Amino acid sequence: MTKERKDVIVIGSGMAGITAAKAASDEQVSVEIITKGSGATAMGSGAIDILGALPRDGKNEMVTDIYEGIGTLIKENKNHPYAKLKASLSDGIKAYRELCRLGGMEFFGDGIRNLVVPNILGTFKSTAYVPVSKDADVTEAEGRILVCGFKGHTEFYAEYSCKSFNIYQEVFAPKASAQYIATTIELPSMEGRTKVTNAELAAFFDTQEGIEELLSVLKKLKTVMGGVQRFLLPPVLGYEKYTGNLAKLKEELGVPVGELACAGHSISAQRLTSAFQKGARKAGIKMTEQAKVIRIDKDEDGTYKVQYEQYGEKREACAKAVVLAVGGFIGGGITSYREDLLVPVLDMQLGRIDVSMVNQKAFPSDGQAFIKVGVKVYDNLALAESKMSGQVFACGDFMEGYDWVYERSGGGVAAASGYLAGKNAASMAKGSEN
Amino acid sequence: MRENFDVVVIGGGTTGTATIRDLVLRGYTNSVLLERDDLASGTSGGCHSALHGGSRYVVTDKQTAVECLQENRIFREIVPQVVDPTNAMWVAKTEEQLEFAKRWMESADEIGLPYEVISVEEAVKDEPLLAGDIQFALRTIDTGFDPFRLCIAQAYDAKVKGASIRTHSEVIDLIVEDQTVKGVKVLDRKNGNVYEIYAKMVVNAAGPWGSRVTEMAGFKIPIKPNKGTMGVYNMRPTKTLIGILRIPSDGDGLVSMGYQNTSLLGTSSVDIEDPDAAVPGLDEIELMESSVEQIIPEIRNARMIRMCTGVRPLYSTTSETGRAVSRRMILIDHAEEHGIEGIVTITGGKYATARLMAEETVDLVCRKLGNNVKCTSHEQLIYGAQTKEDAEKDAAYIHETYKLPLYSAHKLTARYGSRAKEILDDAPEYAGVICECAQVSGSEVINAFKNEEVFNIKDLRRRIRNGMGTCQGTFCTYKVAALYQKAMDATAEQAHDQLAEYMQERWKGIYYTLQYGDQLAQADIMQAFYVTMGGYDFINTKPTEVIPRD
Repeated sequence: MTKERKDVIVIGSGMAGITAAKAASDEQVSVEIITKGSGATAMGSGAIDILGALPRDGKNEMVTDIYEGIGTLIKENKNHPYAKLKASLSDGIKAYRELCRLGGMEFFGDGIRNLVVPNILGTFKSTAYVPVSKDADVTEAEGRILVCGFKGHTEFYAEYSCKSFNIYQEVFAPKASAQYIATTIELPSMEGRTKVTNAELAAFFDTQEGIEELLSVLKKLKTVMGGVQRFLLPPVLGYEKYTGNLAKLKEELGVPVGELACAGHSISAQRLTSAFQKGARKAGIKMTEQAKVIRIDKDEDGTYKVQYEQYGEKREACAKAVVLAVGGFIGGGITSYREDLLVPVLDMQLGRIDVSMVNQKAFPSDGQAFIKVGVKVYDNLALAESKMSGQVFACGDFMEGYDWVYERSGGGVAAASGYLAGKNAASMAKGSEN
Repeated sequence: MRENFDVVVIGGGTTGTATIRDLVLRGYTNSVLLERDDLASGTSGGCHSALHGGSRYVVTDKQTAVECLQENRIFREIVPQVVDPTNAMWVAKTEEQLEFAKRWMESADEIGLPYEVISVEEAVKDEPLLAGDIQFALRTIDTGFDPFRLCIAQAYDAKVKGASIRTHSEVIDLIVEDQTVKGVKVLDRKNGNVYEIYAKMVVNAAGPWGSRVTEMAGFKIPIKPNKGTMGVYNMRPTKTLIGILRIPSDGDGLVSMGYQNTSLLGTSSVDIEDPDAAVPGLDEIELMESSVEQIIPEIRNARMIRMCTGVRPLYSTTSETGRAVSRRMILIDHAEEHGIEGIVTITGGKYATARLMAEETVDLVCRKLGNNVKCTSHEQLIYGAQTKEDAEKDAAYIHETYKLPLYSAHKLTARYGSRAKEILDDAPEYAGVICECAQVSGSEVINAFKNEEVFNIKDLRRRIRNGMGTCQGTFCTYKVAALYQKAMDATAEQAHDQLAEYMQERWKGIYYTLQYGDQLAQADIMQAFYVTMGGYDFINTKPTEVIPRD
């Protein structure tokens, strides 16, 4: 079987993978993404976290100034991935945002100071960039904010959330002084319903009829409530037309309208994955989807052969360099069988999990050590301690040494490491040309 | 504060709840059940979800087997809503096991336990994960059941007929005058209040904690707490309970059907000193897996979502340990044994024999109080019981009226029987499914907090199974907290206390499976949801009880 040889193959299409593909593609090399899914990125809120907290013994510290936080983090922990990535961070974020922009998704934030976004749990998320609109940032919010839930929508409870926002505002957004007021909307088209899903609302608001109906209800509410200075809604304002919808609501209502943060199988994450898939296509990056990589081999001539399974068939792709953006536990880059930790894509064991890696407290202030599990890399992100040593690159949650959950550092590390891995893979591919 | 009751029952496990039900049925409606934690929070909730039909004990303990068989049939009649008549398959592979199989069938014939020998081909066809090299298989009567719901059904039945059910209420002393127990001193852990209850009789149904109760009257009883470790799978690898035909021993292991969509690997048998300090033993899980692996080779690939323990109240007057100690029921009249009037202890036994234990206990209580009303607990239906046909009609009604999937509607009628309809009709605006793993309707949350002695979300899970499936509460608990806030008109802080406490409780079971690697990805998602997005590492929460038990 003859097969076209790419310069770079990126395995995985989460944030790290697509940033790596974009960075490599910007170096004018040919790139193919082979992916079975977007892992943790597809389970996230769609925001870009860079560094939100410094987990400590006793009390976790919130980070406001991102670069100052990274400085402290690296000083205290020289093995943290950011120690290798400081120079790639802003380029990585830029590459990621560009690709998303190509797919129609914008982010807001300056990447220097963290924003604070209310979420569907009734608490607040601290993050560097929020998707779609800056109107969800309540860092310094004041006045009456009307938070709208939908009757029968089991994913979000406005009344509970507002009670909670009003109490925890001082913890998460000490400069803010907003008053959150709850309302539950019954859309005329969904009257009497006992269950309305995220998907249904999003699809409805993608229609002209849907968004008009919402607008007319919100207009009435604004008049009745009086003094409303901002609207917040769960992130359901369309799969496709969300940007236009938010702008339209803002214009017609005359006040900012934002969407709350929501993780899990959220509409936000679906918008994001569809945006970067579209972006990748526009950037000329080939994406082979639903493809599970089984093994990687290296030929005598230095070509990497990537075997994968797609739609029940075994296929193969080859390239001069490979970037592994296969994720951690969520993405499936690292799996486990009893006490053994495994790296399926490298057919390798990664030590064992033991009791010291799990904190008995569910949400301890100094983090959970098991989240830091990953593969070792050199400074240029080439794999260390594997048979592929020095010639295959790793990025994102596949790498060891950081607790993205407690640090809120997943997005930043993914983008920065993806960028560096992509660049290095591209330059290796170029270097091996002759 | 001082109150007067006819009878005080200490312990909200299956024995205690069966006892209060029987008391009420015999006219002692002015009775109270006191439970220091929640209904089914001790031994009963820690059982491995098999309401044995006798097959387990048929060789080693014929009397228990006879009782289990009789009681299994009664439970199927009086409380069909919590019983899942899956039956069981027992198999043999070695010479020794084949020999045991012969003895098993002889004993089964003797006591009238129905069984059917099936060909190995049929067995493997029916249960594809069974090892092809088993030599023998038989089918017999057994049931999966919901160990929480059965306690709750018994307690609720007593409550609607007049009894008081008080959870988070710990007996901290006995009031003894003239060699007679006159009453109890109670600590209400919810608010820290202490009060007294006077009664004509106290029934000690505190299981492995039973001696702590009698010690308040000045004497010990020889209860040997014995721990069993269980692993919970997120699905059912087999259709029925499956075990190996051999003498029950520590860690021989069998796969039993948890209620609805889970199953369990259980259980070991290890003597312990303090029933409150029982933690799952990874070595015990390993032992059971190695055992079950002989007949279900793929068992280690099943996903274990948590590990937990239960503590048996074995009764021993000798130095025997573990499985050798009798599992039979023990009823003690302390007037005869220890010269103290006014208190009786019921302990030992099986979950399956709880009703019978209650019958014997209440017979004794009645004799002592000069009453000769006959027991009817075996023929009176437990509130909510309904026929399959009626359950089908109700499920259709729920499906039609509230647009719930028929699947969820069936789960509702399976949890509540005829009460399912009422629960939705009472809180129709919250009918939507809020927990996908266990198909829980929001109306159930409202009902449980209002009517089923639920104090916190930890208790709630025993009523409605929220957070007991694959995601272990990740995607439903914030919804439950919101509904709690609504139902109880609580503050946001209280709702977050509830949520954080419950996630910690879930983490307790996940903690052990993480050391086993099985739930790492799921745990990552839970962490990201509540920390990365939710900031729960920055929220100070406190226990929901004023005087927390742990």
